[in-house]
Amino acid sequence: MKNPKTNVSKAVVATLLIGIGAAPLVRAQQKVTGGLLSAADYIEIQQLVARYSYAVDTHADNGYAYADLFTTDGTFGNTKGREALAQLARTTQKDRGGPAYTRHFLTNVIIYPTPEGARGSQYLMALDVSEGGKPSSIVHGGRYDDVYVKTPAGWRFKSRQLYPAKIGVPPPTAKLPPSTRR
Amino acid sequence: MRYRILATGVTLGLVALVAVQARQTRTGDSTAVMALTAMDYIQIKQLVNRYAFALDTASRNGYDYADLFSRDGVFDSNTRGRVQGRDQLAALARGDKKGPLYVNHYIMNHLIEPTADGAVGRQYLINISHDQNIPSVGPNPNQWDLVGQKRGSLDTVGGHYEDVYTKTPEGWRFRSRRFVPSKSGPDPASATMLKTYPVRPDPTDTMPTVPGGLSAMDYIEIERLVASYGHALDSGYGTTDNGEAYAGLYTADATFGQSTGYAQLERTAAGTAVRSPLSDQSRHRAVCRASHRQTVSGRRRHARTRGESQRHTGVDIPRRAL
Repeated sequence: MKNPKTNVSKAVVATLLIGIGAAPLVRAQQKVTGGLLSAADYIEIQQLVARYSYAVDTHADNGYAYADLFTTDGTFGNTKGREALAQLARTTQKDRGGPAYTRHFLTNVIIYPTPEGARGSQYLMALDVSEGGKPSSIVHGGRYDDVYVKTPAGWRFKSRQLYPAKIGVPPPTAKLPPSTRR
Repeated sequence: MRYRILATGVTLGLVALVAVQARQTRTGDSTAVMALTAMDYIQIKQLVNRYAFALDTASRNGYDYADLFSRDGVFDSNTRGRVQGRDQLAALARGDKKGPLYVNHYIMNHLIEPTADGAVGRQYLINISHDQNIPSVGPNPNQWDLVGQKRGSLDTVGGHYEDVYTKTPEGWRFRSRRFVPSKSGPDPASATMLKTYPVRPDPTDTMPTVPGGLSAMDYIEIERLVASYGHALDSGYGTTDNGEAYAGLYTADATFGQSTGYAQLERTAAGTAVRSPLSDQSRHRAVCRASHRQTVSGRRRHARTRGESQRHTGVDIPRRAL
């Protein structure tokens, strides 16, 4: 029978070696599969995008919940800066809104890394959801094209532009997302 | 002597116990929220996606739906009231049963906030009624309008869900799920915006927990592949290079519906049996163009000459999953 103490130290050494060996492997794999964004980055940007609808529909925090999803120099269309964005959120659908109001339905959320951070797009379906038994209807729809930046407070919209849905061939609006696996 | 050792042991034990408790209280105060990993977010999102499938199909006699809830899980809505218990939840799902191909619950905007003992979340819901008994008109089966009738329409039911999730040994489950219909004006019960927290990095981000399983990054990339479908098909991500962008989502031996491989896809999409004697590269483009004839923008593109289309192929087009 071997000295159990030796076995323990062997196990410790082995664990340490495996740990040291595995660390660069993990990093290498992240680099290959994740491009410039980690899994956490993707999830955090998805959550930012989801928050957008709640912020704009609830008018929460007098519009500042919406404004604070953007960087300090962030833009939505031609609207730039915190005050202007909060004002926009307060006054958009002025009489329709509140904590249980749902209008901005987003789907097809794509996110891809860029050297500056990330870009992404979603489809918007703006609904007038039934109140008082009348039928619901689609008010308008289109696509958002975004630029995201990671700030010390988390991911934020640097710019967000809504392109209303159109039939035909308008000038290109977005750059094709590059493949993450090369 | 023996008593002294015993007394010392007991005292030490007590001190240790107090210390542990004090520490627990401290950690309870400072880290009331357990940050979630990417895989936690993904599994909670999958739970919610499964909800729509389980409810609309009532698969396994409603028990697929019931098993999305924890043992003490509750569903609550303005129309159904409070439903608790596995059999009761299964009965709820069966009551909605329209068959394995029924599609009704469209759920979007999933927001998740970590809490001290799990997570809470919200999503938007719109119900869409599809009625295959109303005949379609015209040569295009997607044209739903018939005088005074539509094959699909938005339901009166729309609003948001408010969830509490708990991580059980079987995975994330609904502890409670409440549906709140959309309405303007104050709603004290939904008044607080959910908070955001950083996602906790974890080895499962890039490495599956079980052999042959998926990592968080795998889920994210598959999710993006699926989300890319509409963008690629409709507009080529806004570049109008939709043909190549769309085909780039498929493998060379891919299947869409009855068609397997580019050649079949091409034939089906173009609606003609004529095989194109094109090189792989050109055929690839031709198939993309052909499949786009099914869409409105595709039909317009169809009018363009091949030369015009090829002018757009210089863009860095993703050949692999996006």
